[in-house]
Amino acid sequence: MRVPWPLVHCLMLPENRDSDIAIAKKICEGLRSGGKECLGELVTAYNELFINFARRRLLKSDILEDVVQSFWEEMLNGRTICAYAHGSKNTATLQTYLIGVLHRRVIDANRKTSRYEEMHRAAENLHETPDQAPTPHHVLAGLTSNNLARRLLHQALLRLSEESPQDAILVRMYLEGLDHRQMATRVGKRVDAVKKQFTRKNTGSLAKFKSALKHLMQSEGITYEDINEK
Amino acid sequence: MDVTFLDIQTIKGKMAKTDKTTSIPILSLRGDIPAEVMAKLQAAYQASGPSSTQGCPDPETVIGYALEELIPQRRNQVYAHLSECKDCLDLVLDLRSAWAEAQEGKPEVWESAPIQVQPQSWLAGLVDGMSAWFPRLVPSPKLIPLAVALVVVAVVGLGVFRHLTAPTSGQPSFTMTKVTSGTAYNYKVCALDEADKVSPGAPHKRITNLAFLPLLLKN
Repeated sequence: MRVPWPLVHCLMLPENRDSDIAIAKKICEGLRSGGKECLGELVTAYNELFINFARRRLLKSDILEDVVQSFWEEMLNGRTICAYAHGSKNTATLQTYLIGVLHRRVIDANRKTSRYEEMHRAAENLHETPDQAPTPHHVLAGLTSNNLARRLLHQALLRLSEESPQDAILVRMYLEGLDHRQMATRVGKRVDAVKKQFTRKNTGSLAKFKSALKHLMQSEGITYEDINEK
Repeated sequence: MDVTFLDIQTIKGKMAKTDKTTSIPILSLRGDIPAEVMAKLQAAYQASGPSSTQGCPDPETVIGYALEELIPQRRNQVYAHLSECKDCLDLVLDLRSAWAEAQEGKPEVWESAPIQVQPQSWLAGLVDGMSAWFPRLVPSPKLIPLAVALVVVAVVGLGVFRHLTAPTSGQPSFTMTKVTSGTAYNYKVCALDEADKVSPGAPHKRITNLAFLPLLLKN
């Protein structure tokens, strides 16, 4: 039996894993005996999460249904779930395992999209000058304050995502340079709703992010001057 | 490209050697974060391009981190990596956001390719149109479908009521005729012209689905 990927990281918490393996064995046996309906419970439990996840990760949203559908079709042949059920080195929960499989499918789909777009872009931009290589000065700057800023940003985003993942998504878009209208387009909400959620004085996304950032800076002993270094 | 982890002291040490003539005065962490600091952070974030997947933990480990399934030791290692790697950070943020949305059971905030918001139906178009024309009269567009539904129910209800109560040749179109005692119900509903033909004790063929009526009539 082909294992989709090696699950060799033995550092997962063991909670729920045994019951997950038991569930997977039951589904595996059901699929092998031709009972496709036994996958229904899994679909009910995870389909919404998988759709949400794939929608965020795919470069093109119009292939969302195809990707998730093909993922479930692959599940129907039983090999993937049986690999989890009987994998001796497997230590991940079923949820993590399945998201990992879906993640690979999303990467494959994005590669195909990128390849297709690159081919078209290459044909259109034959005469464009390439981007200038970064100077040593830029590289040095990147090693110092930019590194510190990036590290702080990443850690603050992580902290915010633990408490309020949706706010973290908005802040990431803000850091990418998107305005409220562009954020609203991306998240599929009204502009005023996004603006309100983002800029509310004490409970808005930006306020929460700044709070997390300041907390990190205080615990690390970093000042604003450190960040503003050139 | 190998992912290197520089600790804060190392970075600060390197920064101490750089030219400080352009730096701003030391600021306290009290109050709001200055705009120039936020701008600097924003620039730093945008400057960090996509990172190489070399040196990244396998995706399942990052997913396990996002779903808080890792043991503390491994969790700390992944946290250190996420502090540097934008791609893995994005994976964590997206997964947590997707998970939160699935828990809520409805799309709260989700990120996708740009979409065109267009009226999906005549009702959505009506709502948009009314909101545009009468912004003050329509304080909450969400209430418009409810109001339209109430109007439709009221009109249909009125029509049915008038139909039932409209006189036909001086008689109501429907009447309650006692057929026989000992049947399932004491009363059956039938049209007046057929009610005349009903003989006591004879089985009635046109039993309506208004079976709840006898219970009401009993009361």
